[in-house]
Amino acid sequence: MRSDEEALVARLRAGDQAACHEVVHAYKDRLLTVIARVTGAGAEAEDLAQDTFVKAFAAIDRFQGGSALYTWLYRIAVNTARDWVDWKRRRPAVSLDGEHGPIAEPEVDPGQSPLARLQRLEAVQAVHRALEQLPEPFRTTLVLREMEGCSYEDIAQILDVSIGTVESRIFRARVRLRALLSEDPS
Amino acid sequence: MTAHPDPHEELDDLSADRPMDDARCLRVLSLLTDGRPVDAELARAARAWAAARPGLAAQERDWRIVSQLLASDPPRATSPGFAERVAARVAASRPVRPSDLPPGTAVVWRRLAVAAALVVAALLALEIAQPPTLHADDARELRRHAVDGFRATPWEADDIEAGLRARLADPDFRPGPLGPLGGSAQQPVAPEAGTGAPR
Repeated sequence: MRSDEEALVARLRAGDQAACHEVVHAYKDRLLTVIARVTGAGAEAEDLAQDTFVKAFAAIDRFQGGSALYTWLYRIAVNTARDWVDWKRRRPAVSLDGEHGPIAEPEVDPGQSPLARLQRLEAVQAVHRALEQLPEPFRTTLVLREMEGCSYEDIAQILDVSIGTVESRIFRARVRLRALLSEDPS
Repeated sequence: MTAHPDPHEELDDLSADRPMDDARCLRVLSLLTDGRPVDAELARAARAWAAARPGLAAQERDWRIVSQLLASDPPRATSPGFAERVAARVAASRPVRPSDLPPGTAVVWRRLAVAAALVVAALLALEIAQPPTLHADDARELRRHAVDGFRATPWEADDIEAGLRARLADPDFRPGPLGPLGGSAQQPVAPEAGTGAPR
């Protein structure tokens, strides 16, 4: 842990509200993004992001500094997201299908023709549909790798698994994702 | 329906001395896609294997395309007031700390606590310094004295003879009227006929 991060954590432990604000401002969009990607939730993802910060600040005394603060926050965010997914699955009357938030428009290349842009949008939507069909551990691992750009080491810390398990999950997720895309009728 | 693989299952070690096959080749390509360190000989063998099999090369190409599509997904942004809502929830969920109080509040409370402790200590000292008020009751003291004369400690059995002797030797002893049998304590007790011995 860096010295400035150590100082920030010390302020959090002392209950410094300004430090809480700093952390929220620094990580709110990143945590919301990872939660939305893991859960596929729309508006509820923001509530889960709030839950993540509340849990993190309440448990800051248990943060031992063995990893970076953002890794620890990601871990809480991923666990919160997984709990929500489990809770959703246990509700028999409600299906996850059709409850996902809108897929964000990919960044537009100004030099791209409208047709190429449409094809790209369709491809992005197909990939997201396939991603949502992956079992949760594989989806979460692939999201952290491909969309969050986390290293294998960080993913292992966030998910509390070995690097070998991370390698295995990413490889299998890729194979499965490609198979799902091949089956996609669109 | 396709069975899902065990998410906790690790694959076997990728050692260079094992023969190459499609599955091993794809695993190596997956690691190379992410820039993971792979034994140079193993990487060369996987590349050669994939080059001879167009299907594997196409798979690796598809992974890269999917990777780019996923990476192009723009990050989400929280709605306005998100940080304030978090702050409100954090404040509601944690106990009040001294740092939460307005400046000077802690000092005022500390002084009040010290003052209260001093008052309590003074009252205690006053109470301890005063001798206790004794409310003597002659008759009660006399009864207790008499009873106590029958034994040296509360746990011993009564010694009637010693008790009576002590009672009679007590200058404060004022014998009252006897009970239903009548007579006085000073009156001699006549021996019962036929026994010759005092009871």
